[in-house]
Amino acid sequence: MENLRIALKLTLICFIAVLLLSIVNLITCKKIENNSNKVEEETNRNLFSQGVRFEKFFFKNSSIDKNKEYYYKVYDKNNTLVGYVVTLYTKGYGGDMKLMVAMDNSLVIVNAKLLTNSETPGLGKAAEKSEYMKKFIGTNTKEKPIPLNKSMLSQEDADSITGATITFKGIANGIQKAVDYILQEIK
Amino acid sequence: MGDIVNNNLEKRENLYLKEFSKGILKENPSIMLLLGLCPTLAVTTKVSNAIGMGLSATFVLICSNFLISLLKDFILDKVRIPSYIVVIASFVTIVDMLMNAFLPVLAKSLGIFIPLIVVNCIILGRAEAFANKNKPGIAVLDGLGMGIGFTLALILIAFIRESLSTLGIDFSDYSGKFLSFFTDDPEKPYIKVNGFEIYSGAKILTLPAGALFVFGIILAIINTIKSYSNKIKNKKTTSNL
Repeated sequence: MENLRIALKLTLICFIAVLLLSIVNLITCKKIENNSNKVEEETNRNLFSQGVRFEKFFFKNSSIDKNKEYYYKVYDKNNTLVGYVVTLYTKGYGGDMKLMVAMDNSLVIVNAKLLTNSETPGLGKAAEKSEYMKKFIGTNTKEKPIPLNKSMLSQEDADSITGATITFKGIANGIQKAVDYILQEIK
Repeated sequence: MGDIVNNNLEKRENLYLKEFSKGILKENPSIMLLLGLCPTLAVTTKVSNAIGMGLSATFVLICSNFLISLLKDFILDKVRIPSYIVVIASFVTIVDMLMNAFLPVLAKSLGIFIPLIVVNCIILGRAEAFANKNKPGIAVLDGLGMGIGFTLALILIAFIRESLSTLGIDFSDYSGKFLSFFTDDPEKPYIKVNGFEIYSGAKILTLPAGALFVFGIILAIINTIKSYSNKIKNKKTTSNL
């Protein structure tokens, strides 16, 4: 009987907490979504300097979660297609990381940006900086494939990712995945 | 008869004032009781971070103190810690959602430390030591005082760290300006006299080592003052004897 009373009281407290949280969520979720859209728009413009118009598309492949992973077709001021920006999720050291990958028409990587993540500050978090992505820019050609391993990097770049190899691998795999998605989409 | 009522009223007011003011200096959670040091050291790289963290923690502290003191007869002693954690975690999640919605830049720079308010020992400590033994009104005052004390301590540390490393205070998180007497660009913290550089910002203060450094110096100053005032008190009592 005593245990039942404890369980009931705890349930009641949790119930009220959930009720309160869902009300606040109702108020804020729209605003939070708007904010993240704004961040994406800004990132689009930063990644693709010659892009003027960004049009959002969903992948035809139905196994890809439409709410999380999608891509933009990028048009320049003459309204010609100059490339793609893919938004996708990849696994890092601290769970899922949101990544935006920009590539041109021949699928050469133009730039990339790490968004929401829970990587370790000072180690994996360094990947949020724009210099970090320099090692991927201009890759995915015959001479310069995407560096998926530490051994494919220059000595200096390899040193810079020391202590955060899993973050690096996650980003590299994410970039490879973005290329694969677009390949599938346009073939 | 009236005198007694007046006397009681005065006593009550004094009690309220005492419960409110003790958190600001005498029992300041960060620099006197040394509670909640992890966020204290981690977020004090910028004054704007310190304000955001301090006010969030204050909000959670007031709300949780109020609710826990209100529910103190409802919550069973055996399961009080889980109940407190649920209450505190709910308020922290509310703060997190509100901040993500209305102050996204600040939310990004505080990052993981907002969710971690849940396990901040100041809040759980006040719930356990004060709120569950006192009436809601006093518990709110206690929370407010402790929160303000925590915020002021954070601002003090952050002010020293930020002003010495960037030579100014950056309020861009609140869509404000970078305030400084010496330089306009926070990335270039130099003092130049006749084209000659006499000081460039001490970057070490923004690093974790700098946090410990500044905190240690503050503690040293406080302890010196404390032992000095104790000495005077002791002298007084002995001379009275």
